[in-house]
Amino acid sequence: MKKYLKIVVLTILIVAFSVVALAEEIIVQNEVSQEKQHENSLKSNVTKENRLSSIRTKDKMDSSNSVFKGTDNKQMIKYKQFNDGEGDVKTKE
Amino acid sequence: MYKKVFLILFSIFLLGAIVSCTSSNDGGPPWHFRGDLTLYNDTSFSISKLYLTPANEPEWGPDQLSSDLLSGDSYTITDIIPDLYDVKAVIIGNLSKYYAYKYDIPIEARHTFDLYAYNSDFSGSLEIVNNDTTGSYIDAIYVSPAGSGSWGPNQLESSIAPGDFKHLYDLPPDSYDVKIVWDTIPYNVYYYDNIIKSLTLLTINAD
Repeated sequence: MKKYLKIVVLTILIVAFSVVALAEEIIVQNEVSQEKQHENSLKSNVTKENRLSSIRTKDKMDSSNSVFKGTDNKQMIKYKQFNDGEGDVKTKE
Repeated sequence: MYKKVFLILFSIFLLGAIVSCTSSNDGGPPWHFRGDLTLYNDTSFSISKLYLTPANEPEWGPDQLSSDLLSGDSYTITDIIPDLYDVKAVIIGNLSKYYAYKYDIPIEARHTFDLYAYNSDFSGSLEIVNNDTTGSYIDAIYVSPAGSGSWGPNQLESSIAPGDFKHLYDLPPDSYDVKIVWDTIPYNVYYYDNIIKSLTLLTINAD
């Protein structure tokens, strides 16, 4: 009889623990949702300073080539950037 | 005996369920310890490709967009593991493709990083056409910002035959000087102060 009682108590404890864990998950989810809404309302008033730039400072490799309309890929060359002083000296005529 | 076995199996099942609730499938932190990134397309074109990779990765990885991001729309990449990230956006126009970047973006848990794309943030392109009618080849092309004191590297990997062209892309908008090297006299021909604009293809007809 004691053996069965132990089994029942242990099962109840495990189920209770999992229910608490799930409840915490739901609470966190709600908190995140509310926090995001608050942040979005704040950010709408902030200057849009996080913007893209045409300046390429890292040469990461492309995993796949983009498809182009109206031109042949083999005619396309990525512009090779350089630091001032590299290559022949420029003398404007 | 059977009840013991049942209890052990049941316990393992419950523990598994609990663990699956608090961690992610990819072995990273659970979703509520991750961040998001939203790109707002404030350009007048559709953004066709969007790449997001950790700042220390040498490749751009897969395109994050499943379809074009239309002008005026936004797109959010969710559940990003907190780290520094690089972003590349691509507009594929009818004449060329144009790029824009943002490096070392801090993605933080439970925060959304808002990123904005404007027309002027994208690169421009330059096309050099060999219009020579005497059969001369273009052996080299140097394209240097007007403010630079040097010509930099040859942009060509192979010569341009008469009637053919090469298309340079991903140039930051600026004023550029161009030196074209022919295989016949007068050899070097210069085109100064060519304005490359964002999302625009400039053509130089060389002859």
